[in-house]
Amino acid sequence: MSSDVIIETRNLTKVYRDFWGRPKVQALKALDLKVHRGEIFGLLGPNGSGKTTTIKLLLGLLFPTEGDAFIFGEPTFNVAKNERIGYLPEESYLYKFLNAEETLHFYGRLFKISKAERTKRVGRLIEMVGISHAKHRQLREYSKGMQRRIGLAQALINNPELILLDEPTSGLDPIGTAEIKELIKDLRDQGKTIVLSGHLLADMQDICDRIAILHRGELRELGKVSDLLTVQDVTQIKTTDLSESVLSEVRHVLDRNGVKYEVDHPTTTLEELFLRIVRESDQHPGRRRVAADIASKPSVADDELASARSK
Amino acid sequence: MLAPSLFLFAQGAQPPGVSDAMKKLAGWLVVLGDPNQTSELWFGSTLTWIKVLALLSLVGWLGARFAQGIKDRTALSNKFLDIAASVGLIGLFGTSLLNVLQSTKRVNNIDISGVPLTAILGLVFGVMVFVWVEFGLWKAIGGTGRKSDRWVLAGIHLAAIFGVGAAWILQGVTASMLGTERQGGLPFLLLIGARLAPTFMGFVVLFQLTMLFLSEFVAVRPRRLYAIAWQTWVESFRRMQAFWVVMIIFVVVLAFTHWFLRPSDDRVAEIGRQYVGTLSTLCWILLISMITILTPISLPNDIRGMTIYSVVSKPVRRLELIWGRLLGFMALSTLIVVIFGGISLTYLWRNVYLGAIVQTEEAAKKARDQNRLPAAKQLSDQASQLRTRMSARVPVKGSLTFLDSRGTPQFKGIDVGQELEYRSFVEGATPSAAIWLFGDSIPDPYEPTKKRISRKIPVEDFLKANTIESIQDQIVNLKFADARAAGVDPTKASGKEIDKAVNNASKNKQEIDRLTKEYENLNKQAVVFEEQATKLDADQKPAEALRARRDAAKFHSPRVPLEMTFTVYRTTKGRVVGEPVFAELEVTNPFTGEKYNNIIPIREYYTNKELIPAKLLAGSNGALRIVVRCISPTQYLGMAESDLYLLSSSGNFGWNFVKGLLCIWLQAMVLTAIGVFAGTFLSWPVALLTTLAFGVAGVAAFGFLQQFAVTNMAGGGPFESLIRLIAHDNLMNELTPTLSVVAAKTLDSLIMPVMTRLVYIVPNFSALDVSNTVALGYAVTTPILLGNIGLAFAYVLPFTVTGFFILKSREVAA
Ligand SMILES: Nc1ncnc2c1ncn2[C@@H]1O[C@H](COP(=O)(O)OP(=O)(O)O)[C@@H](O)[C@H]1O
Ligand SMILES: [Mg+2]
Repeated sequence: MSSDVIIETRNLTKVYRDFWGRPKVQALKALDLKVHRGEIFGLLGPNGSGKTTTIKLLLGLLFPTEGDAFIFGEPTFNVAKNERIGYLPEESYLYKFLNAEETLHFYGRLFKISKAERTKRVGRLIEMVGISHAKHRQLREYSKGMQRRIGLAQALINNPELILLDEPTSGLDPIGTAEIKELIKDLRDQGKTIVLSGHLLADMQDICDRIAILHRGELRELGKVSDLLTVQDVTQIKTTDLSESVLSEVRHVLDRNGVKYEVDHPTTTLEELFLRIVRESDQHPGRRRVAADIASKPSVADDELASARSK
Repeated sequence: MLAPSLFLFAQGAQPPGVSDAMKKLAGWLVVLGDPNQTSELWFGSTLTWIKVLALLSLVGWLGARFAQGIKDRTALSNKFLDIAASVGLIGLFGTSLLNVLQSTKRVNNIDISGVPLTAILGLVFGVMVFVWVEFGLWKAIGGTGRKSDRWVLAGIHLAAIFGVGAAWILQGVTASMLGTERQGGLPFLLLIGARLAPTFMGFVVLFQLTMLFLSEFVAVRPRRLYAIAWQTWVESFRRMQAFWVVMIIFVVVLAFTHWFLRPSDDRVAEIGRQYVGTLSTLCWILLISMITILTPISLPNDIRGMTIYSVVSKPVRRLELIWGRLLGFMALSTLIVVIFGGISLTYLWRNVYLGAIVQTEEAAKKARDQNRLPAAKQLSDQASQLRTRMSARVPVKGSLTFLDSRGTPQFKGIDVGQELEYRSFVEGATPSAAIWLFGDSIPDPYEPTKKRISRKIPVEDFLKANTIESIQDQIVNLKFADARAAGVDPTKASGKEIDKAVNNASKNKQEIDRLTKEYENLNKQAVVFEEQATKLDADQKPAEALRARRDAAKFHSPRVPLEMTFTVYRTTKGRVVGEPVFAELEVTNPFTGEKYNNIIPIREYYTNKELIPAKLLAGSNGALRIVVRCISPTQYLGMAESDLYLLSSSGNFGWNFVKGLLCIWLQAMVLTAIGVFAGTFLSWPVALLTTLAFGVAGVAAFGFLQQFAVTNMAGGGPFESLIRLIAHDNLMNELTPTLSVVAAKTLDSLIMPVMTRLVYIVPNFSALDVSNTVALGYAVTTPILLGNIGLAFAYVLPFTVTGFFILKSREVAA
């Protein structure tokens, strides 16, 4: 196995059984995958398609019914491999009676990190995930998004080479989502390998180098995002300030060549719009943007904004 | 027949016509293979422990593989074999039914060409089940097992063959010992084999498990243990609020205790024992309840709440999850015990020492000053009893040798051939005797002619200063010194010769004269009270007589407590169950020749107490000779060296109380190990119940359960006992073999072997409990303490390691 391959699964299969050993669900069917160093690999699929099962199998939290999985070329039941892995569970199941700092110190102590270095990292990670203002509060008082953030911080405490993130953006507001996406790209730029799962197509599309699409435990597609999403027989031209006269000239040329076409104004995604609003209002506080065509209830948007800012 | 012959090897008897090497080999095969035999050397109990672990590992291993096989559908896949096995199982049941019917004479014994039918049937049905088990195992392990499992399976088979080989050797040695042919043929060979082989097979499994454990153990790191322990600790405080709950209950109950345990005037002496007993019990109950509730729910909660995901995806070893929890809970227990101990000691100091002892002593002094002598006497008696209870009396032990029934000195007594008996026996109504020697320089019983050892009695701990006996002691010692100076051996010379020597030597004369005068003075006063008492008795005034006696006793040192615990071996049944066997006790001061005799009824499992007059110790130089004979004909008294001792009253109570708390702490540790273990594979309610059951069984029923393991219970197994209970039947009667009785006996014969093995996993909490010892004012000696620590770890290690194996083999995220 080349040292470039970080994760390899061969015929990885998982059947959940009941107490009596009777098969209940076939959650994963004969998965063959390779994840390479330095890429962002996305596991995409609807709910219940086997993404979480795959990640748990990779970590040795579940035992495969059939097949094998290797991380860094080692079998998954080898505990020592965890030294180089960071894992964010699907929901941040953390000890609710600890505060953020205690949480990070607790997980940090499980690695061979000196106390000084640990303290430094804890401070930096709390800063990075943006919960400095709440670091002395017990996690039971945290909102879901805050828990997600501290969950991400604990996954990075050992400066891992491989990071497994199970639906990292679930429960996060769009700003948080964007921040996390930026963070993931940063980590990739630092040479880390990242595997993330999700069902929000837009999120995955933005950041993944390669994706695997699972459905009912079966691998349906595997490849580069750009390759998978390119629609080969459609061509798109984007311009700004296109005058009516130029447009009619273009129409004319197309008509003459017998090409079928559609012309309209592009729409933006709600996410992009929301982000733009937040950014603008950050630059010009107090100015309310009145846009009846976007939000019918501006007060709701304001509430969301306020809460987003407080996080 | 089997057991005694095995016992013979273990005892290292000298069979004729067998070479030494052969004999040694046979001995070791028995000691290593038979779970009920062990070496008498220092590692004996450790060896038993290992053998029990080996057997349990074997059962666990086979059970786990087989359950896996059934779950994976690799076992139970061959219809033909499954049916054969079912027939075999039913057949085995039928065979033991037949066996019971035969032994209750309902059916005549059937032999086929000399071999009992039941043996043949048992063999046939046994083979049917055996083949099924073999098939299932090979398939299960062939299917999913690791390579090491296959090695172990092969090893188990080799060990089984080895076991039968060992049986073959033993059969041969027994035969040449008895000068006969091999006895019992194949069935007997298989019988011995069946007793030895499982242990050897267990060793193979235990070896694999030990290796797996060691590879985990070397990967354990203190920082991770600390992290898990810290998390457990914080959880107990913040989530469970355990510490505060326990503390509040303690303080509240203590307030009530104070209110309930007001010293009543007539039983002041009891107050110390009551307080100490109540405080240790309170500490015990609170700590054990806390542990029972807290420890079994910790891991299941972690797994169910999925908080364990983010922990086990770090480089944490499974063993660290268990040991870390153990450490965390033990830190909590330590904190609680330290606080309880501090409060308890302060409480005892204020209420018993300052409140009762000092006050009583002051009251006594005041009474004396006001010349109310009887009241003064009574009060100071109470005070001294209180002081006795608030001390840590230490047993003073001698060295034991025997006389056999012909009166010849022996290192050991008579062997009555009971298994598991470390005591040796003296025969009733013969010159046979047990002799305990105390003294500065007595012969070493192992090498009487070459070596001498010291078992000196600390006389100053027994003789109260300024009493008749202590002055006597000083006088005798001075006289002996003078006699020796004059070249007379005081132990051999007569009194007159000594006196002459003393009168001639002027060195200590003055001092002796002064002491003698003092002695006579005290003696005169004592005699006055004694005569008074005799007169009062004659006048029918017992209360006053008693008071006068007490006054007389004031001039004497208190009598020296001597305690004896003997076993009785009856060759003839007494008329009544539990009728005592009589022992003659003779205590001699070898220097002065002073003697004390008494005849004591010995009750089994009782500590027989005897008070020896203090004057026996006067001039003893710490030496005594205590001889015990059995005077009931045809009965035997069994004794070991530590079964008889004097009790000295030195020792610090506070320190002893702390040792008592340490033993409570040890119990908490054992229960923690069980709780965490239960949590590795059970949901929290079931784990909680399991822990509770272990606790109750260990505290309340251990002695009873142990009887299953060691001897046949009077009244048969559980099912037969049930019938007796329903029928209100006496334990000793043989039940009429009705249908239900036969059925019960059959069930018992099937269940007992399982029960007797299962008993081993119930921890012996009563052995770890020393609170009564402390409350009664006995010292928790270092050997007891070390023994308890060893015992506690002997439970903690296997439970936690088993928990590790379970946690390792289960999917924490399923
Ligand atoms: N512990 C479990 N026991 C039984 N079935 C499970 C268990 N966990 C997941 N499943 C089933 O396995 C399938 C895959 O689940 P999962 O891997 O969690 O999907 P995803 O993460 O893609 O949403 C689902 O059908 C789910 O119901
Ligand atoms: Mg999922």
